[in-house]
Amino acid sequence: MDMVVCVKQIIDPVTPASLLEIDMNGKRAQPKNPKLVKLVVSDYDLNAVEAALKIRDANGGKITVISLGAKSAIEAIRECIAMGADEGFLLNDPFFDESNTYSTAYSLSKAIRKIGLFDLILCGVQEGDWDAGQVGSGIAKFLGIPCITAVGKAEVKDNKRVAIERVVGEGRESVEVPTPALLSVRSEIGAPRYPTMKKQMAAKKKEIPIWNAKDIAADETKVGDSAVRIKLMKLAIPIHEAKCEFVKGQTPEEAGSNLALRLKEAKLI
Amino acid sequence: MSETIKIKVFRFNPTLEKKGNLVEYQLEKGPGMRVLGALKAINDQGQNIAFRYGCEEWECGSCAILANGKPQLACKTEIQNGMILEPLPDLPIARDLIVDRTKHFERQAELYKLPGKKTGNDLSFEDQERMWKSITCMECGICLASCPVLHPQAGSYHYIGPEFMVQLFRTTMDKRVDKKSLESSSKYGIWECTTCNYCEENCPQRIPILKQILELRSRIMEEQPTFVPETLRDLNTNLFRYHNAYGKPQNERLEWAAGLKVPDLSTGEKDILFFVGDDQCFNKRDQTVAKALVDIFRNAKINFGTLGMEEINAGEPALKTGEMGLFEELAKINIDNFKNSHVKKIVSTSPHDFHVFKREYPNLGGIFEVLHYTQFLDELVSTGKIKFSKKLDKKITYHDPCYLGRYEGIYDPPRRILQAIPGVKFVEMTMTREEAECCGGGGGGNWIDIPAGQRLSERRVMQAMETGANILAVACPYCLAMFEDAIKTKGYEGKMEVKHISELAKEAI
Repeated sequence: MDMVVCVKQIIDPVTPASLLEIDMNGKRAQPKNPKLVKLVVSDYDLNAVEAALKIRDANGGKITVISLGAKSAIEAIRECIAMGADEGFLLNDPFFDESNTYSTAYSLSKAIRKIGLFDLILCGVQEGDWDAGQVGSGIAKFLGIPCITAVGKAEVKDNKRVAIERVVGEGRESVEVPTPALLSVRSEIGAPRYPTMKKQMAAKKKEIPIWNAKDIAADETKVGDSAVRIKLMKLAIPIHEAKCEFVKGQTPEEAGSNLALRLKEAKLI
Repeated sequence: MSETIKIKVFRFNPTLEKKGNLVEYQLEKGPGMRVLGALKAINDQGQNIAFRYGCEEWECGSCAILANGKPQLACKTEIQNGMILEPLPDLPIARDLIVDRTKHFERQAELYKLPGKKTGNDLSFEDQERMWKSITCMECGICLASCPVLHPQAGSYHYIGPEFMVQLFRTTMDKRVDKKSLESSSKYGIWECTTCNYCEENCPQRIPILKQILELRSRIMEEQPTFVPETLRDLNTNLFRYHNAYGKPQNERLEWAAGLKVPDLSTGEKDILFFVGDDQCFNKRDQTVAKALVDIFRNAKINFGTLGMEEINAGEPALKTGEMGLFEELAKINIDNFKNSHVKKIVSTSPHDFHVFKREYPNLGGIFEVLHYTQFLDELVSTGKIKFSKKLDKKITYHDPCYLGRYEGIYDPPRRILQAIPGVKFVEMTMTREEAECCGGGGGGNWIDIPAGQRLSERRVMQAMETGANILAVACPYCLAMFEDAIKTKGYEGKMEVKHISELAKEAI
C-alpha cells in the first residue's frame, strides 16, 4: 500500500484572536508576534496521517507526505515524519502564493503525479483554518480517481479494495472502493499518535525536498493568483463588546424587579 | 537483656468462624528478636498460630505479613511492644496469618507463558546486567500489598501491580517477546501506576521498581505509540508545543500575577527564584496559591523574582509518563534560563518540580540549590521573619505528598508551619508520613480518568474525614486538584475544605 498524505500548516486554532491581525491587503490573518503564535499541522490532516499509519501497520507500504505552503511548512512535514511517515516533499514557489482550493488541489495532484504510483491518497476532511473541505475532492477530480469523503474507518482488503465506514448524520455508511482512491478522513479514525522528542529530533535530520511550479510541470494558468475562482472580498476579526451594568434597588426584591424591567426594556425577555 | 512485651496477632479459622479477631499475647523479647522469632516463641508457649515461613534469611519471601499495617517480611522486621500482626490484605485467608495467594500465582503463570519456548540466549551483557535486579524478586507480594492502586475499593483499575510489572520488565529484555511484553504492560494498566514509591520503599530486595516501570513506559512511547492513552498523548503534545501542560498560549502565563507587579529576574539579580509552576499559572483555583506566596514573601521582605514569561514546565509530567526525550529538552531550556538569569536558589511551589530540580537536573548539568516552599516558609517562621498574628480556629490535618515525603523525606517543615499558626488544632491521619497513601495524581495520574467512586483521592479524603478535621492541608497542586474533586464526589462539601499550606499561612499573617 503506497500512500500519499496531503497536509496543511495552519495558525494554531487555539490562538486567541487578540494575538492575530489582518494583513495590509485585508486577506490573511497573521500573528502580531510570531513568537507567541504556533504554526501547527491542521488537526484532520493529523488524523489522515494516523489513518495512513494504521493502514501501513496492517498492510505494510510507504507513506509520503506533501504540503503546499510557506517554507515553515517543512516543520509540519517533519512532524508527520516523526509520527512515522517515510518521506515528504514541500511545494513552495512564489507562483503558489494566493493559492485557493482549486489551484492547491491542482498543484498537489501534479506533485502526486510526479511522486509516481500510489494506492491511496489521504487528506483531512477539511482544513482547520478555512474549513472549505474542497482540496481532497479537487485532487481526486484532477487525478480521475474515486473520492470517499468523511471517512471514519478504513480497512484494506487483499491490497486492491478498501472497506470504508463513512460518518454520516447519526449513523455510518459502509462502502467499498477499489484502489487507487482518495479518502478524506475525519477524527473518528482515531487520535493521532504522539511523536516523541527522540523521533522529532530524528525527523529534523530528514531532508525535505522543495519543489516549485516547474518541478511539478504545472500549467501556470492553473496555479496561484491567476487561477483564483473565488474572490475573497474582505477579512475581519470580529469585535465582541461586553458592557456591564449594575441594576440597583433598595431591597434585593426591588433590585430583582428593576432588573426584570431593564431586561424587558432591552427586549431581552 | 530481655524484656516482656505484648503483641496482638490476628487469629482466624475459616472452617469454624465467620470472622477473625486480634488476640493479645505476652512474651519475652530478646535482643534483636524478629517477628518470626516472636511467633515461634508464642507457639512454644503452647499456642498454635498458623504462619508461613521458609528460609528465615530474607530470601524466599514466604513470611510476608502486615506488621502495624505495613507489609513486611516477618524474618526481617524486629518485633516491638504493642505490635499488631495481620495477614496480607485483599486475599482469602487460609488460617490466621496464612493467605491464599492462588490469584497471584495464576497471574504469574499467565506472564511466564509470554516468552514461549526458549531457543538460545540472545541477551547482551548489558541487558543481563539490567535484568539482574529484577531477577532478585522473590515474589513475596509485599509490593502488591503496598500498592494503593490495587486496593479492593479501586475495582475498575486495570493495573496488575508492581511485582508483575517487574516480571514484564524482565521479559521485555528477551528480544523474542519484547513486543508482546510491552503490549501486555499496556493491557495490564501500566499507566495507572501513580509512582507513589510505596512499593519500592517496602521492597525487601530494593528492586528499582519505578525505574523499571518508567523504562517500560518509555519503550511503549517510542515503539507502540498507539498504546499510549489519548490524554497522555495530549499532555505531551501540549508540553512539546506550548511548553506547558495546559496547552495554553504562553502569553497567558502571567494571568495569575495581574496587578501584583511581581518582579522578574530580568530586572536584576534576586536572592530567590520563585518557580511558580504550570498549575499555579494557568489553573484559576491554584492561582491563589501563588498569590499567597507572593504576599508572604513580601511580608518577610524577601528579594525574590520569577522567570515571568520565560518560565516553562519543569518537564516532570513528561519524565513520569515515559517521554524522556521531551523531559531532557524542557530541562535543558530551564537550566539555560536559570543560568542566564544567575539563579542561586530556587523555591518551587510543586513538590514534583522540586523533585526533578533536585534529582534529575544535576545529571543534565543544572546544579542549583532548591527548596520546596514549605521548607522555605518553615525557615521564615523559625527565624521570625514571618509572624502569625491572626488566630485560625480550625482543626487541620495534613496529607504528605509522595514527592515531598517518601521521595525527599520532608515531613516536618509543613507540620511545623501549621502548628505555629495560633488556634490551629493539628491532627494526624492514621496513615501518615512514610505510610501516607497517594492522592492518585502523580506519575501522570492527574491525566488518567478513573471513574468516581474508585479514585485513590476518595479513600484518602475519607481517612481525613475520620480525624474530624475541617481542613485538609496540602502542599502539592495535584493533591489539591484530586482532593477537591474527591470532596465533591463523596459529598463532603461544606464539611471539609482543601487548602494549600501557603493559603493558610497567608490567612494567619
